[in-house]
Amino acid sequence: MRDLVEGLAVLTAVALVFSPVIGYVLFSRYLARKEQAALREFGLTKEGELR
Amino acid sequence: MSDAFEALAVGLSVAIVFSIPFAFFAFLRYLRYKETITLAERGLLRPERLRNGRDTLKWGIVITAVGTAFTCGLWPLGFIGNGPDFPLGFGPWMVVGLLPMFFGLALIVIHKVNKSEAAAYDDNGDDIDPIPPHKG
Repeated sequence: MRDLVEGLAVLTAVALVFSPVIGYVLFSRYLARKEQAALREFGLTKEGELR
Repeated sequence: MSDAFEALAVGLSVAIVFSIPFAFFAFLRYLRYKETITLAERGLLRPERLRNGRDTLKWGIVITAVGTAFTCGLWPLGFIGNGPDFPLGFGPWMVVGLLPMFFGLALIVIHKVNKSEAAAYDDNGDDIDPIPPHKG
């Protein structure tokens, strides 16, 4: 039981360490998607075109 | 049980320290997003950045300087404690300084290689017009 708790704690700690990086990547991708959608809405970029 | 709490505490501490620069980068990204949207509302696009390889050189110099500073600062650790066991006091902790230093040097080398390749391309094909104008 103790091993299980310690193993879970280590896994949680590793997840915590990587969470800022993963959070930043997800946030950045979300903003990029919103940017593309807005540019398409304003007719400033073609469908699927990457800027 | 205390080991579990220790692991969580270490993970949480590292995550908090890591999250400060990433929060800053996320804020910068958000500002860029707002700028793009504001320009788009006025029918404008953000100008493309001129990518002439100067960024590679700039970051290469900065990262090399930081790595050199870490290397100089960490080397004295080799002369205290168990440090003298390593040759010249050059222990594994020096990786913290050596890694950014050589990464920065790699960026500078990449800049030099790209620059010389571009110069060679310009020298060879300067006078040759790849699409000659139509005659007649």
